[in-house]
Amino acid sequence: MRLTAEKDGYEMDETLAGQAATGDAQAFRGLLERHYDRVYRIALGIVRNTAEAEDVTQEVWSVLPAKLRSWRGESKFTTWLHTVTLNASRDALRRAATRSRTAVGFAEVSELSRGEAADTEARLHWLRTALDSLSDVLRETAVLVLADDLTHAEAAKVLGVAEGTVAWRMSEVRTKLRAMAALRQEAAE
Amino acid sequence: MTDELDRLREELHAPEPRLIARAKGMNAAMQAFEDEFSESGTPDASATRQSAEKMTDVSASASGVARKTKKSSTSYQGSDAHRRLSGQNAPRGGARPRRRSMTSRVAKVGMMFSGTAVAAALAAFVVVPNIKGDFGSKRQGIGAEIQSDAAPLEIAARQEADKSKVRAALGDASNPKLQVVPAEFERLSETVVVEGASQDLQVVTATYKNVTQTAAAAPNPAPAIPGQPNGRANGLIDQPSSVRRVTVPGKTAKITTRVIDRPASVQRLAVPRKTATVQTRAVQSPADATAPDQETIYSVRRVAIPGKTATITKKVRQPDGSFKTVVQTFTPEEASESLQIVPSNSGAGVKAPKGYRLEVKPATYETYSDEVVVVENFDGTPLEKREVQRRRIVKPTVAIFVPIDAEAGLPDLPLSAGTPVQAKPSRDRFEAVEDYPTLRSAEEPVSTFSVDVDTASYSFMRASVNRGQLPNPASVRVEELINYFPYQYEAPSDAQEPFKANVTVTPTPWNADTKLMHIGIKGYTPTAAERPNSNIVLLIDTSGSMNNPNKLPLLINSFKLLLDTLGENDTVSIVTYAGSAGTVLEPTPANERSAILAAFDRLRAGGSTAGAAGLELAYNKAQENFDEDGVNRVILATDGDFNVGFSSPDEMKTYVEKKRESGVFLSVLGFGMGNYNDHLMQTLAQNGNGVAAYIDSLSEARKVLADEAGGALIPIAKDVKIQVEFNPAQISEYRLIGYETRALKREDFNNDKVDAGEIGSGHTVTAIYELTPKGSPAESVDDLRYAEAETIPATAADASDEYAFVKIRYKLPNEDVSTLISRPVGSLDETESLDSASTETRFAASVAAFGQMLRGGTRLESYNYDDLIALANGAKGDDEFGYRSEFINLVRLAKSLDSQR
Repeated sequence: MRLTAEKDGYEMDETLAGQAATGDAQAFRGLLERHYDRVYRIALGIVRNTAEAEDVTQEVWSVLPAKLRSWRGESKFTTWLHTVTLNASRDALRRAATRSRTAVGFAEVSELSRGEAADTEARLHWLRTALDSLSDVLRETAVLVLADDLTHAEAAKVLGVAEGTVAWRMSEVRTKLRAMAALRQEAAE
Repeated sequence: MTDELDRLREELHAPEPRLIARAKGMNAAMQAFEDEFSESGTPDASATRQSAEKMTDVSASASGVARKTKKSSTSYQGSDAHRRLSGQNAPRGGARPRRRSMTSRVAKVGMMFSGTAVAAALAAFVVVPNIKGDFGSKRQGIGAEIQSDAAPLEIAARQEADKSKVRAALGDASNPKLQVVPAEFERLSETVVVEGASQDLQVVTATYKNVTQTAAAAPNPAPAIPGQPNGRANGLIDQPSSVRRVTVPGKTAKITTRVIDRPASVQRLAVPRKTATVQTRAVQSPADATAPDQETIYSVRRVAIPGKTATITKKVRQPDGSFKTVVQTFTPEEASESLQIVPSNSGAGVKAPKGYRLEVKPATYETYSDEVVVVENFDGTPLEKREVQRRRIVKPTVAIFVPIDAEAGLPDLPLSAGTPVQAKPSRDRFEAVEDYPTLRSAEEPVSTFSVDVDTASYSFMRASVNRGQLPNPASVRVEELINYFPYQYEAPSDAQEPFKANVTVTPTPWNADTKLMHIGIKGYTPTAAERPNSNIVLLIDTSGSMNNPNKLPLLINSFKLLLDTLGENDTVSIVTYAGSAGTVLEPTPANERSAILAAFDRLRAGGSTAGAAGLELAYNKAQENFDEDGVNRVILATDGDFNVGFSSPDEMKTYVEKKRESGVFLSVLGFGMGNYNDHLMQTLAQNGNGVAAYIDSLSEARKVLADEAGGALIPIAKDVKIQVEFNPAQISEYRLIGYETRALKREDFNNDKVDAGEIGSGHTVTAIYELTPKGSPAESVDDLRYAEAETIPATAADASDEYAFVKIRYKLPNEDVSTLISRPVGSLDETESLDSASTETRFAASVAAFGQMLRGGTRLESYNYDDLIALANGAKGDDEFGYRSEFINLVRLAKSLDSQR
């Protein structure tokens, strides 16, 4: 049941993307609705800074219309979207590295400008620590597989590696996270 | 042990962009889409439109049931969908673009709110910038089968399903490829006819064959034997071979019937993504679906989009060659404001002209490269710079009226085109004070007043004008309007001489027969090393009325900005009052950011106001940590409900006065609108040697607390009084513009016991007199018949061509004896034409004119808004923070509001 539903969902994406590529704003809006937050989650996982992730998300969606023109529907829309997002996030990360001091300030202020609960902060902190402890390739893999429930095959396609590599990386991620948890446990005791 | 991988999965799923960011992002994306495809357009516009009309018909019949049913709270979604349906196929740039964009916005609103519980909670405040609400439409929905008594989740699910059904239908209709299919289908049915014709032709051929067999004349062989003479004519050609059988290839039509299995996709979408919030939305805006087009009273609310602030470490080379590191902030993205249209519930606001609805046009931005100094010499010369990217607003967000029916060809109208609707009497309280009268210098040669560096009146005026209402004339204090702006007057060079008085005389913009005398005072700005330490007690009102996004949260963020300007030698304490007063934070060095920030996070609004107890506790805290050489100050932040504990404003005034003598000053920051007790705030700040400012946005907070932090916090002189004596031989009449609430008696000037205003570091204070020269046609008061004899008081003969004598008296912050500075004013200080006056003088004059207009403007002759805009426009100067541009926009807005009156 779920499988069918998923399948139809994807077909929906492909249909919408096809329509959007011919200038149908309604269809494009449909895509925005369905996938805006998805892009944000992936971007956040990779750049690890809420403000930066918001920017990346906006950037991805702003360049998408131009890219859609050349979209031939050869791959699944989401796979394609993930690839675009991944590339944009990588670029953002690279840019941020050159002005790391600035990025710190950004993070502080984004915290300042929202009145949300400290709980969210704590969770974000955990997330950031966990993601920081991973190498770039492991992080990208983990984010794709976990943040958006991609199958290993799909993630492999986005990352341009073999499916087996993704599986191997995910087990590495698990090991690393366990080590981190153990370390914390120790520190707590 | 829980699996860490699962936790990571869960945490990675949780984050969502902020509502503001999402709205901005989606706007930008739709804009990009619009830009990308705007040239090409839909290829087959007419076909698409036809089909759209068909679709509309379908939807109309589908909505039949809904029409019959009463409007229910669930019809919102339906109407949304319907509108989307009817508008969606308008070709781009074609017949109904306006409606299209409206629809898109509605869709976006929907999207915005389909969020988490956080979004649902926020929806209650509607803190959503850049969103255009759609309040006017009366259309019914197609949500026919939605029963209002169904369980909310079910409703949500069905609505979601409905939406997708519609979307699926729309998808097909708007897809050019799929569009071709029905067109082919149409032709196919014609083809059947064509095919029939072809068969007829074959029948003709057959007849022809028959004809040849019977050797009869062929009815028309020409088509069959091209180029041959007519068979019948020569009668010889009668060979069957010559009669070629024309094979007309049968047209085979492929009837492609594409049936798209929609139910499947509907089924998929029927899985509601985020369900609970749909219900919230229906509850939050029931008015949207039901409000008739013309009746809505809009009020426009400003939502501050905080600028991004980044910190950069700057190294300052000390005279001894060592480097000192300073953290400086800069703003990669300047703060902006977005407007939000809400149906007015207070009754105040604007009503749309017939056939119009109000929309918000989002701001446009541009990015540019800028440089930030990262290494600097101790004298301020930059040694090394770094390039940074910054973003600024090109066009600010505006609210405009757009025609409901775009086809009517009506132009867009500014916000001011609406009919202002007067609110029921506001609870904001102002004390009405009459303008100063024009005085004869022969009778009353001396004018005395206290300086005023408050700016609350300006912010209040701005908030009011932006809401589409001219401010209450009693709330306009001209001097506060003038003093809101920083002016580049000549500054003193030494703390011992805390300020300089700059006096200029110029022609009056609004009266050719009078002159304006500007007295501009600029306070000394101490260098960082000279800065005294601050002992600051924040007294925060956490009463229930503060529970509003433009109050407590804004206040907390404002203080965070203030914190950035303080150092390790400064201390901060926090005291709250509401129900009962309490200490939230004991005096803490300002560099312990995390402790202070944590204290802010503990603040919650609730309860009634125990102002007096809170004030007392705050003063005690300040006293506890009293710094002999530093600045000791209580900063009160409130929305004005300060009603428990003191029986009258006078009692409170006395209390604050007493405390001031002990060396603790008081500043007051006003927040929120509708409950603001202006008079009380003024009284408190005036008597506490402090500043009263009204904070309506984070950018205003930045102005008051961060950009001018030194000014508000470090007093450089107190009890500053100004006395001007006019020379009746030159000046027959004079009048002081503004400062009505600051009048002093002539004898108070030399009395050091009498309190007056305080000037902080870097503050500028401007006072403007309108002078009528002797013999000018503008003289308004007749000479006294019996006073002839004692005309001019015999001062020094050489002073007779002086206009006036300006005296300023002040005390240094920790002294009790005043110092006097004075200077004569004469023709040497005069500029012949207004154009040759400095930009600062001209700008101050334009603000003075505006303030007087808002107060009724009886002295302004025929001077009008356009003259004033032209004057201000020509005197913007550097306008580093954009304050002056903002002013000009406010004047424009006020102009149109005024013309409605």
